[in-house]
Amino acid sequence: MHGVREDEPHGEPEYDDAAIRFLEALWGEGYLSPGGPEEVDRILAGVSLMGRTVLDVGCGSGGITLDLVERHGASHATGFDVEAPVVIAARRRAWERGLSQRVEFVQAEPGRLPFRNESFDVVFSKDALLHVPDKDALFADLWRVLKPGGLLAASDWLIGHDGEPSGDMKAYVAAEGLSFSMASPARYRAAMEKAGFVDVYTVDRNAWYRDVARAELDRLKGPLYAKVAAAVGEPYVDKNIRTWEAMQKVLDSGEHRPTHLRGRKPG
Amino acid sequence: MTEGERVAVIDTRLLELIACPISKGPLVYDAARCELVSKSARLAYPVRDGIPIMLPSEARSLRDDPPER
Repeated sequence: MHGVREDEPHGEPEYDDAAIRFLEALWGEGYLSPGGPEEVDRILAGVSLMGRTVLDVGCGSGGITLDLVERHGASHATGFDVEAPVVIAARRRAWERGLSQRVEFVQAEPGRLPFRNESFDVVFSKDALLHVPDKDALFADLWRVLKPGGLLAASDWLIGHDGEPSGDMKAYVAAEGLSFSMASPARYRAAMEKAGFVDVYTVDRNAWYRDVARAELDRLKGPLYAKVAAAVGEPYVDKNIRTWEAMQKVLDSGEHRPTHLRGRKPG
Repeated sequence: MTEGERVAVIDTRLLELIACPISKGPLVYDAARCELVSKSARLAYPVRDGIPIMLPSEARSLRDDPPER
């Protein structure tokens, strides 16, 4: 068991307790995506969250959601995710850091968000939207929950084109074993503009993550191996080393394109 | 988490944000049962360790309760 409720009706979660332990050992406490607080700062460059309410879509184990309040001064943050183990870990972390009054976590099924229209000043998301296949419906819903004048500031893992993925890309996604639905920056921008966002732009992060991922792989194979293996077992680490090697190929070829997204709801 | 913390307090701010995924309508917090009640969908969603679980499959049906007037 990975701490999953026995009556879990939706099958095994993709991000179970082992996945959380592994990714946090690599990326930091509460972080299920790369770059740490510094990359969150870059996603929010020029944006003040001071006194504003934030929704964190795909909050994972909550480290970033808490940072949005603790480090960025948001008055209230709501973390949303679709699986139980990550929101349970996030909620526990909020208690431990004494932030449970200013941060809430909510679990619901994929699809329309369980929030009312015009609820949030800012919608944030980090490397989670690639799990959502219908980009038009996704951005229409993010637009719906934003207050007029509200801002979308996100990062996501995109693909360089909307054609047939290369063999290397298919091999990488298969190695991840996760439900990725990657689309191109042009596809994302079109979906954002169709939803009604203005001042839409994207910032390519391939060059940054290409180098960061190479360093992650070196750490996994070297100084971090024993620590991570103690947390999740050697076979799990070995499998992920193979995933990282497959990922590096598509980062180096430029097909895997981590990207920052920005858009504003007119108000 | 201690038992005391399991008696979760749902922030009023969250109640202003959250909506029933079925009816899109508002929710009322039943503190005694630790449930978020959607009168319009006649479902009660569990709140576990302070986390609203907005899954219809996990919700308790209020079909047998008298309808709201």
